[in-house]
Amino acid sequence: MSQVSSAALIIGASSGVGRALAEQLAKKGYKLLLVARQERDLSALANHLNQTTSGKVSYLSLDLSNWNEEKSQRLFERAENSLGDVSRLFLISGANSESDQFPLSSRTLSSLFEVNALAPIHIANQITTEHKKWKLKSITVCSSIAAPVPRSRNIAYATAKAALESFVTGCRHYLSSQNIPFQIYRLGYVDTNLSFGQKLLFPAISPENVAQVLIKKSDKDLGIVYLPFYWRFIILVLKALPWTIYKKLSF
Amino acid sequence: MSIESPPFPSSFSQLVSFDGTEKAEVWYTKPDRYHSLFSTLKTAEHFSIQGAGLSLPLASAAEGGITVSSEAFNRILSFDPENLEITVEPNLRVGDLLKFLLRRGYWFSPLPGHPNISIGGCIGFNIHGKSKGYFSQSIKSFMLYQPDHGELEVRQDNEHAFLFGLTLGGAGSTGFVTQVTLQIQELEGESLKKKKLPLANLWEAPEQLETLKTLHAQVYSWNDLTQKDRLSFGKGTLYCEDFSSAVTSTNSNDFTRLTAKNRGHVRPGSLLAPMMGRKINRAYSIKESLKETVETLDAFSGAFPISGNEIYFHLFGAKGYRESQLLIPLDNWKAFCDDLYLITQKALPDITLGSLKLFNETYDNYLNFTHKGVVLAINAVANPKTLSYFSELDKLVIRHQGLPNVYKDSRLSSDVIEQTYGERLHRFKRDLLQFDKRRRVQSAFLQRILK
Ligand SMILES: Cc1cc2nc3c(=O)[nH]c(=O)nc-3n(C[C@H](O)[C@H](O)[C@H](O)COP(=O)(O)OP(=O)(O)OC[C@H]3O[C@@H](n4cnc5c(N)ncnc54)[C@H](O)[C@@H]3O)c2cc1C
Ligand SMILES: NC(=O)c1ccc[n+]([C@@H]2O[C@H](COP(=O)([O-])OP(=O)(O)OC[C@H]3O[C@@H](n4cnc5c(N)ncnc54)[C@H](OP(=O)(O)O)[C@@H]3O)[C@@H](O)[C@H]2O)c1
Repeated sequence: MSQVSSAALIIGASSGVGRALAEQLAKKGYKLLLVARQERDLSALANHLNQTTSGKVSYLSLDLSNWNEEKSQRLFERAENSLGDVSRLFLISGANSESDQFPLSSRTLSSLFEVNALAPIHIANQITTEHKKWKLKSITVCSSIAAPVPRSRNIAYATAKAALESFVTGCRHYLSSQNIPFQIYRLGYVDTNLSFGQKLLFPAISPENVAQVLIKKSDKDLGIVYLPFYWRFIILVLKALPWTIYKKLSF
Repeated sequence: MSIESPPFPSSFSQLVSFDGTEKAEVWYTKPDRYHSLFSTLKTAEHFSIQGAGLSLPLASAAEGGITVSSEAFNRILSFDPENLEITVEPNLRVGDLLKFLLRRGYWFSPLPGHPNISIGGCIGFNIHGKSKGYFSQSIKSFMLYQPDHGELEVRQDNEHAFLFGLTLGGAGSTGFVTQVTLQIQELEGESLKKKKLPLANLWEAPEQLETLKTLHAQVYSWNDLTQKDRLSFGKGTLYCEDFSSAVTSTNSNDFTRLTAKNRGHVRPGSLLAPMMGRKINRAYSIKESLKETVETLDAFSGAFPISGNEIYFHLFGAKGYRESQLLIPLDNWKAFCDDLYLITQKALPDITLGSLKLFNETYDNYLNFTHKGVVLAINAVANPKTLSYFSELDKLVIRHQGLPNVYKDSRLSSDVIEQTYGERLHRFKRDLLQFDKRRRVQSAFLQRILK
């Protein structure tokens, strides 16, 4: 990742992959704006990084649910004041829920869709539209292996991630002449509290490793990427299965 | 305790004590944000708190219970050099704290022997340094979260002052320490000068330690307790340390992320430990004799002599080792040594380390290992011979009106603690129960000592 473009906006920065990313970018001297809901965690992380690294880290406590004009204004005003440019946009946030299965309440459906798709889509939209103003250099998104292979569990989450992928691919198309690289990571299991304690079919990758890859590859226009890479083959096989077999799978 | 899966991310895992002698299967959880930490603690009827998990006894797990790890809370929250203060989260490791301070020309003491120990763990056991001071002396204030009381600011001069003494050395029993403000010092020198002097035997050690202590910042000794001859029983080396402005060629910064689990992994040599008591002492003695009488170490290496020498702990393998640490009043020391010599010759235990230091301060806080006297630490291979030898040590410490260190010895019974700490144990039980009627914090350690 080039050192010239050294300002990054991280949505979902207070734990897991987002926190690891903030830690690694701050060590590289980045100017960062960290966004998530919990103020105490954000301020602890920002204070720590300001004390221990050459990065300049600020934060904004913002709930992605019920996204509206006022939230958008707060975010972008803050980005302008503390970063100047948003040369790197990292859309990392994600949320799942125990109740994300049938029968699915409309409340669960809406809230998961807002956090995993609608709000990140609004943010991606604004940054893409105003890419010149923000001196945009790359957009990196965390999706999930759930997006291409929907199943009855985590259905709202998977649908939202698929919508986000779709929208960001559209942004990539729109900006294709500008040489702005996009990466949409379909993550497998990551060793964070989203997966901790669950019976996993494959080993979980550490959030630090994910962050390392995200940073290393952020100058490359990769489109959709599987991480770890072997998920590409597993998903390929799952997608090739006839419905008569797929419907019997419990995963 | 419940063995049903709790309603927060957790995995059913086996935790082991650092000495390798105690194990428990628990629901292990690692909250990664404050709100999930608080909701986890509120939801769990009973829980244990884990820092680095390097305590010799099993202080952060109870069979079938819930262990809440502080792993995610390892940050430096503020640094105020003008007031010589730093505020940190409890899972910051003392090695990381020291690295941060050294780069800026500051120092912190007391420090425990290994850099991977957490600040929360130092509070839980009110640890002591190589020879001077105990942790509570360097704490200005801390925040404590107890699910029935909420988050409280604890200082020695506010309405929660009673929680200061109860938490320092309380083995996590009062709740989860969420942040701590520590008193730091200006660095007196870039390096540590370590001078070695010969020590003839155990009997003479305290006088020499006492004289040297007035001249040097830190004084302690290594003692060979496998010597059979009475005249040389406990012979060894005295170490005197002072800050120095000399520049060193080494500048250690990194350290092994030692854990209780990886200590016990079988490595080449692990299986030899049971036969190596005498040989380890000989090898150490030869290694020391090959070194210069005066060594200059960078401040970090000087602070943590065990760092880089973790092989010593790995040698014990999965079966582990036992440690007994005893504080004997100076007046009773010689008579204690006479008895110690006799029981040691009779049992011939596989002792791998003996060490001494002097404590000058009296701070009779509950079960804290803080009183005036000579402190003797003994490590031995965990085997039946050691068990019976250590129960003889229990009798000696009672006879010579000393104190055993409850934080180091995983087999110490509540009965021996009762006989040595007496009223201090009763006060601890009473005051803890008054603060936490439901005794929400549980661990194998607390269950044993508060039986
Ligand atoms: C190699 C080695 C060298 C050592 N050297 C010394 C020494 O020189 N001097 C000395 O005194 N001791 C020494 N010890 C002992 C060690 O310092 C203590 O056992 C210390 O408590 C270990 O800290 P930990 O981070 O591993 O904590 P853990 O073992 O995880 O916990 C220790 C206790 O603290 C409590 N605790 C941890 N975090 C919190 C929190 N956030 N809130 C409330 N309670 C909490 C736990 O519940 C538990 O009761 C040494 C141990 C080893 C393995
Ligand atoms: N972990 C896995 O196994 C896994 C697998 C596949 C894909 N992924 C995806 O990878 C990404 C990172 O996952 P992770 O495991 O690092 O997750 P995580 O640890 O749960 O972190 C999620 C982040 O998003 C923030 N967030 C959640 N809801 C929010 C809201 N309503 N408003 C604002 N911020 C919110 C959280 O902070 P606050 O709580 O402070 O708001 C946190 O910073 C996510 O997109 C996830 O879907 C993860």
